[in-house]
Amino acid sequence: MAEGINLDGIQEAVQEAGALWEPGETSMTQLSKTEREKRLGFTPPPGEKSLEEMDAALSSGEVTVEHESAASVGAPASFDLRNVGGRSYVTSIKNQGGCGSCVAFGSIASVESTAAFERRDPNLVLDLSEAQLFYCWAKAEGRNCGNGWWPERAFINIRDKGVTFEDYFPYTAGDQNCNVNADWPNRNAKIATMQQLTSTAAMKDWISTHGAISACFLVYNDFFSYRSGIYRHVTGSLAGGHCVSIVGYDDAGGFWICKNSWGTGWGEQGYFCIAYGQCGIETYSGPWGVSGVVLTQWLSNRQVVGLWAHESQRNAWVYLSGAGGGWRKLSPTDDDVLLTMLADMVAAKAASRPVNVFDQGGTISLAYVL
Amino acid sequence: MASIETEPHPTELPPDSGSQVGNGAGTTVQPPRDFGELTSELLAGAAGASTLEAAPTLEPSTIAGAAGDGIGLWQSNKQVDALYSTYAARFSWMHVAGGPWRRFSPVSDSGVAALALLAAHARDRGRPVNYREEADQLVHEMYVW
Repeated sequence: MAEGINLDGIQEAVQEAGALWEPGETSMTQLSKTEREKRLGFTPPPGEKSLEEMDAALSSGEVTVEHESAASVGAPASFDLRNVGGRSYVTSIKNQGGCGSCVAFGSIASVESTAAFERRDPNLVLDLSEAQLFYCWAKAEGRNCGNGWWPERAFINIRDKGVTFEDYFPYTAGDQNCNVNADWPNRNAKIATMQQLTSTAAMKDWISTHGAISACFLVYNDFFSYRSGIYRHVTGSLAGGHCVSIVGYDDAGGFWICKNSWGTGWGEQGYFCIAYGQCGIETYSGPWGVSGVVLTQWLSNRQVVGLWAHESQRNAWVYLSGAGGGWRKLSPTDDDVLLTMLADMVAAKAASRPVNVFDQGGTISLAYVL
Repeated sequence: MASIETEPHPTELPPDSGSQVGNGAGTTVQPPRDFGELTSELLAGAAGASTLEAAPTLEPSTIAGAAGDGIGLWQSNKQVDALYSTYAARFSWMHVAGGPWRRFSPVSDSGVAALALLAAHARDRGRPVNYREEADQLVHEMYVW
């Protein structure tokens, strides 16, 4: 029996309401009420409606959502980043555990998706560090597992400071020190821009153009028992605020497709669909899209597959094989640097020798030919 | 809303480019010993490519018959069988098998030298090139695979 959750009552209410989702036992219903609420880490930013005020505004109709079709902005009527022409641009489902760090998970999921989709490279499977984002950057702003955060600040930190890869600060649930690998400035991702999306059409346009977006919404107690279908709030009191990543939508069915951070034991293997206009998901403190994910990292043991040169000053590129490969610009610091590096790349290509290069936001600033 | 890079850049993909890709984790190598001594200014400068600059647009998988995004005539999957240079500045040429001599556009020292390096590699290894020429019959950009 789930503490504080009446599954039979929820099932009956869903049936009576004719709602198109299936409640049942999930990994969340098996937790205590306290543990469930730990996993709701959205705190409205200063100036935004409190959770209770938003709840009241949604109930009273003070906050409404204008539903605009994807076609109105030239976007596909349905879109799912998990299957774009048979390719997925969504990274694996994570589990935030007993910490109100959902903002970090929802934000990073969107960055990881955007990095792959803007490059149209489904093989670019980033795994960025929610731990650094939450236990370093959020912590520096006074946020913790108990009081949560909000996406705008998360994206500002990713834009201005960057976030390293998971292997440099693996995530575990629970407030802790900022124990990140000291080399993280040489291994991180940043975003060039962030954009608040102020209409449903803009949300669809962004998802189908750039990648997943971050959104927050009110969680009611029936949500914990979601197993499948198109969720809409039917019964249960307000439990808290939560942030996720929206990875798709369907105008015919009238729902968003979302990636949660409660593990694969909840929802549809960690995902859920939520009906348009539900729980403030289109309007509460966002949503936010990001663009231009810039990666800084060593790319090791790569083959030089192609070279490109242009008549303009100091403009030569190399195409590298392997994980996160593709075109990279050679450092244009001066003629000597560019031509020396290009000569090294030519030598590597001619002899089919591997190279190790330091990729700084798409520009190679150091190179070995091995 | 898109902020698409507009500088010239390569667009082709290599032949058989369906290589494995991942997050790079586990493939990190140690930087050279003096890496930590590099100044942030140097690193910032190295990363400071203008978004208005030319960049490749082709992918290696489109090696034959593909056009780039530049205006002009693309010649694809060609062989370079001879090279020519003199004491004159920015005066370097390549010969395309079965075709004409073509001079590299003399817009910049580094541009001519880079194009000549690519042509030399193509000549040395018999690798195919895709290049863009204009009505001026100069080579303005080139790929070598």
